[in-house]
Formats: sequence, C-alpha cells, structure tokens
Amino acid sequence: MLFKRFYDTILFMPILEVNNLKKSYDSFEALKGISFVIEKGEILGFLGPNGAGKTTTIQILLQIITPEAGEVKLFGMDAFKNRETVLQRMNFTSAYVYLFGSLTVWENLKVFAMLYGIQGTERISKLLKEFEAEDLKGKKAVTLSSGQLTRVMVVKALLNNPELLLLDEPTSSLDPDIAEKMREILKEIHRTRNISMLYTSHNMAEIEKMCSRVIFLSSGEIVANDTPEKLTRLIPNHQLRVTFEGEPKDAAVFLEKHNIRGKVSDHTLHIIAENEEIPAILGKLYGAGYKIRDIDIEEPDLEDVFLKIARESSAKK
Amino acid sequence: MYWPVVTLAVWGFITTYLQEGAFESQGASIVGMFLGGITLWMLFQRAQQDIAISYLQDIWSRSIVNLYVSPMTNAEFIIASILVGMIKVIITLVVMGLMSALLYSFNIFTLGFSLIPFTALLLVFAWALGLFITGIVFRFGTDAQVLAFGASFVLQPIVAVFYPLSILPTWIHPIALAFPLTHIFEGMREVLATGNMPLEALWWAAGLDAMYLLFGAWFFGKMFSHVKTKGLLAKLE
Repeated sequence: MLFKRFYDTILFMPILEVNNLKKSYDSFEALKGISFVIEKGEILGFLGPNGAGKTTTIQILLQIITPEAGEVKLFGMDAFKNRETVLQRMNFTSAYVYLFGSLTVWENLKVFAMLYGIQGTERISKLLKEFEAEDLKGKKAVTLSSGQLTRVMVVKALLNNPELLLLDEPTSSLDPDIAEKMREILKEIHRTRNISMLYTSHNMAEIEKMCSRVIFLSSGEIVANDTPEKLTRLIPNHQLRVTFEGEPKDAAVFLEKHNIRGKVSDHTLHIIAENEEIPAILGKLYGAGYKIRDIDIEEPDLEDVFLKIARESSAKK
Repeated sequence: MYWPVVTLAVWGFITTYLQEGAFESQGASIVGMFLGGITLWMLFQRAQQDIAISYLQDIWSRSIVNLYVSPMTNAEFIIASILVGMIKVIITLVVMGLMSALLYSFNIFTLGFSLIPFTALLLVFAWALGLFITGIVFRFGTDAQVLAFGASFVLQPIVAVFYPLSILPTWIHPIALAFPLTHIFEGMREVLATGNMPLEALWWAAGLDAMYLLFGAWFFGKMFSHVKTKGLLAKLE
C-alpha cells in the first residue's frame, strides 16, 4: 500500500500542475483561469496568436510575473512558496533573451553555473563539446551569430540538468536552417535526457513536429488540449487537387451531379472532401473518362484546427 | 539645464567659500579640504552607481530575465553588487590617495581612524540611493538610466562636499542636514581642522543612513513587486 502511494505520487506525479491561473493587465484579461498539467517526459506545445497568453503563462511559471489567482505546482511543490527550489530544477531559453554581451561565452556560462550552484567547470566543458560549441568559448557573447547564440543558450539551459525546460518561441527570429538545427537539438535533448518541455510558438508546423500534446490558447483561455493527431481529426475535410491532361470538359456539371464541393481552374479541380470520400471521388472521375495527370491531397494541419477553433470561439462570444 | 544649474551652484558656493577665506580661520589646509572632499565624494559616487549600473548592464544586454529565472534572489544580487562595488571603492581610494600624496602632498589617511566610519557611512548612503535609483530603473526602464549616473550630482551643491554648511543660504540648511552626507563632510572638515572625531556628526549620519537604507530597500522591493505584477521585467530595455 505504502509502495503504491509512493509509486503513484512520485512516479506518476505531474512535473507541472497549473490550476485556475488568472492574470490581468489593467482591464485586459491575459489569462482567464487556465488549468493544465505536464507529465514527465512530455513535450507540451502552447499555440496561440499574439496576446493569447502563452508568454504570460511561461513568465508566471518562471516567477517573473505574479499571477492574480491560481495555483502552480512544480515537482509536487507550491512553486510560489518554493521559488529557489523549483527554479533550481528547471531552466528556460528564448529567442528574445541574450547573454551578457561584454563577457565571453565561457565567462557567461561560468556565471550561470554559479547561479545554479554548479561546482567546477566539467559540466560546462562537457555540454560545450556535446553541442559542438567548444570553439565559441573564448568569443564575446555580443559577437555571436544567431545560430551560435542559440547553441550557447541551449548549453546554458542544460547547465543545471533541468527536469523541465521552458522554451518561449525558441526558433523565432532564426533563419530556417538554424531553426531546423535548433529543433533537432531539442529533440535530441528530449530523446537522450527525457526532459519535460513546455514549448510556445506561433509556428503550427513546428509545434506539430515537436510536441506530444498541444494546448490552444485563445484570448487567455484553453480552447483545445489534445495530441496533434487527435486535434487534426477535428477537421474532417481534406483538400484534393486533381490536375487533368487538358481542359476537363463539363467538370462543373460533374461536380454538381455528384454533389461534390469544389471548383475548376487552370486544368485543375479543387475539391474539399472528407478522407473517406476521396477514393470514391477519384473512382468517379476515372469512370467519367477524365485523364488525370496529377493528384495532390492536402491533409488538415494544426493551422486549420486553430483557425476552426478560433472561429468557433469568436462565434460563441 | 540640469548640468549647468548643478555646476553653477557648486562653483558659485566654492567661490563664495574662497572669497570669504573662512578656511584659513579653521586651521586646515585648503588643499586638504578639497582633496578630502573630492576623494570621499568619488567613493560615494562609485558605490552609488555600482548597484544601479549592475542592473543596467543586464538590461542593456537583455540578459536580466536569465538572471531572474535562476534561483538567484534579489538579496544575493544586491550583496554581490555591493561586494564588487567595495572592491572598486578600495581601488579608487588607493589610486586617489596615492595621486593626492604624490601630486599635492596631501595624505587622505591623515583622517586616520575616522576615515573608516566616515567611509562606511558614506557607502551605506550610497547603497540606499543606489537601491532607490534601481527601483526607478526597474519601473521606467532605460528611460530613467540617466539617474544612475547623474542623481548624486543633484546633492553635490547642498551636502557641503567642498565647503562648510555655513556657506549655504540658511533656508537650505534643514534640507542639507536631512542627508547623512552633510554630516559626513562637515565631520571630515572638523577632523582635518582639529584632529578630533566629531561623534555627534557620526551619530547623525548613522541614524539618517539607517532611515534611508530602510526606505531604499522598501522602495526597491515595492518597485520590483510592481514590475512583476505588471509583467515588465522581460520588457525592460
């Protein structure tokens, strides 16, 4: 019995538990009582437009913003009563936060290591080697390119061997190739260290690639919370593009006759249909004698889901 | 207008002081009065600027969030800034002391034992003012950074750094005496003139220091809490 309680509370305890978190800036309600959890080893994505409350949530978790109401439990502890203890076990990186420009990379990392009570320099050396940043250690932080800075910031974020990593738009303002490299690094960190992550981004495709679960925030409220796969199933419609050899004769009549939603333009038929309907539609096109040159099926992604949810939530208001 | 007004006020009172020849009757060398004044003033200014500039450097490099998302506390940051500031103060004292001795044959250490409490009281007020200015910088960001460099100068004409309190118009006296610096600089002149430690001036300075330090710490805490409530820490620039 005792073992089961230990097992349940320690092993299955969420890394982060947020209950009814509220925050307003004057008359603007940034968070309207959100609740969510992050389990051990989970990458939770926070999606939402500007002003949705993503950054406010992260900054409350980091305790640089004071909430009006709500409870935050980190590692089973009240985060606000145990600030130093919980911050020791987590870390943060963002594209909008920099290092001390006048110090070298090595000096910066030494300062942060000391802030986290890390003795010696072995851990810094090990991480710099792991992230192929050894050659940067003598460089002044202000001279680093955005790609180099990103790598060093990841090293900084891993100095204290965190159990939870908060990533606030870690790839925004980065070139696409560097952003891709950053995503690879973060995936590798997650794979090898099983660190839980909270990941905010405007980039839906990035969240879809990175996260095991996604929370949609809109105007300070959670409007969806599920895996990317389940969320995309909320949009049954796929976009089917069928390109013909030459002009398809009477295509509009064909669509009307078979009650298919779509339109014809430039030798191409644009059809909106549910996944299960697509084989039948293609069969009918072949049956009608159309010569098809190319077929392209576009599946709904998180962006479509987000647009749908945002439309529905604004319609409710 | 700020710098011309402050400069004119300081030089105007210095000129009055020299013209009245009041220093001759006090039995102290004018070189000692001025060099002692400027040395202690520089120590004060250095210590005052260090706290606010420590924060400003982190704001300028946009790394302040990195500091505050670590387990570091405000007290740790302030104590670290004070310790670094004290090293700078010692270096400043040694350099200025050596230069005064070599170039002008004035030994700041003729203040003897009284140099220690005077300097300590000077530093406490510097930290109190530093905390107050840092609170304003937190609240208004780099728009208020000029205060970190220039706020102390507003006090310079009225706290009797280079001339005795008696040179100032009488209506300024109550204002001047409300600052520990006035008691410290008046005390320094008394030591240079008579060789006696002015205990009353020290007690006044200590009492006022305690008051200002408490107020500075309270104000800093209040502003920091305001910044956290308004979500301004990450936006400081």
